[in-house]
Amino acid sequence: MIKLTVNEKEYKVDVGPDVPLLWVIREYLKLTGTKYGCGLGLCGSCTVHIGGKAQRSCQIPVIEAVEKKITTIEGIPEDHPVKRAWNKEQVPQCGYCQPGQIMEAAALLAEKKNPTEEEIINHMSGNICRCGTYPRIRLAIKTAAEKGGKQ
Amino acid sequence: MSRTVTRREFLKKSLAGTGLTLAVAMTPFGHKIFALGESEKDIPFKPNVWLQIAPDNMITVYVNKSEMGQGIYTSLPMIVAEELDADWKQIRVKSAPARDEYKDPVWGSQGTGGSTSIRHMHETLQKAGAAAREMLVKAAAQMWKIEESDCETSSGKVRNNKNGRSLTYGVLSQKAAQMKVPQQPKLKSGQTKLIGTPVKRVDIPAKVNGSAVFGFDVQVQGMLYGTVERPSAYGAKAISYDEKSSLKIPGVRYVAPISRGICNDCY
Repeated sequence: MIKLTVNEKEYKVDVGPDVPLLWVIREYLKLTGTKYGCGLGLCGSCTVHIGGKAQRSCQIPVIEAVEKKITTIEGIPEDHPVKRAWNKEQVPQCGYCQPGQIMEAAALLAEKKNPTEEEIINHMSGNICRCGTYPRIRLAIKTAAEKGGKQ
Repeated sequence: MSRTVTRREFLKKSLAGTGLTLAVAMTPFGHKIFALGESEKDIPFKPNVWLQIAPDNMITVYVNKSEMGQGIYTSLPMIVAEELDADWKQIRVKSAPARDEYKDPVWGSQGTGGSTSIRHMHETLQKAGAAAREMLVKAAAQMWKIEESDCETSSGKVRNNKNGRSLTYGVLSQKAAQMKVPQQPKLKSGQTKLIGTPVKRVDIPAKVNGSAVFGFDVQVQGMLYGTVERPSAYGAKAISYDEKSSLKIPGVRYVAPISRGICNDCY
């Protein structure tokens, strides 16, 4: 049995230690907001926070996430500046990559309250969007930074 | 089907309880069969398959197309709301089940693609909204004992131009359901109220909070995943494979050769 803390909830799952964390989140915990994209850590759609850092859950064996605080898209509060900005700027098109984009953006803003355009582009460069919503992603991050700063 | 049963007839029969009418709807979890009369009896006004108006003033619009991010869960209901003269705030959107009535009238099938959703559905949805509006106006005119021409609609209400009073569509829904469904409802002419205004996409909140269900998110009991080991070069064919050692990999249940790609004659 492997014990995990996801979105401040404790779970026990009967899986092997090398099963990817993404698999456990989606198949065992049924938290399907986190997406499987490439399975190789190249697209960013499986991004979650482990100990506050954005990580590619398809590349993390579940054993490495034990005793760490894991947050998925479902664990980000609805009134979080990033989620609010994503709604305000109408960011998603098909939406498949967006949970990963949001997790990556939230990690950036947790580290840096007011990132520059260049910092945003650099930080977000590993999250791929097939619909090409990049301009709105950048806009929403700036909107969230302003809102977050004001609070 | 041996003869055409109109939706109205279909509903009337099922609601009257003269027999069990079964409807089949495709859900992500398979086919669901339900008695239409039973599941929909609380909704008095369902003039056609495209919308229903509940006494609480909520209007549900059924969309027969897949939302792939182009906004049709928003734009198609806007067409209905425009002709209906509804308030956008009272509109709820639901995915239509797989049924003959929901087939694209141009294609004769229930598909989405090729930038055709608005073009193919526009007239049908206009008529759906307009028919409902006419029935609501008729109902109001009868209640007030005035001419239909003395009634005006806007923002989900019918207004009595003789005395300035108005009733919501929700309040009128029960009576409207008793009106004859017009087959050639009069469509609006002139300026639109809702179409042409910026409206937030209805599919976005679920895509932001992670609750949106994509095909890949559907899970059924006992479901397994299949995966293809692809060749290293285009056109390559499998010569041999080691089934025994493949089956030793944890979680692997079955290994099978395939002679070709997933689809032989498309693309």
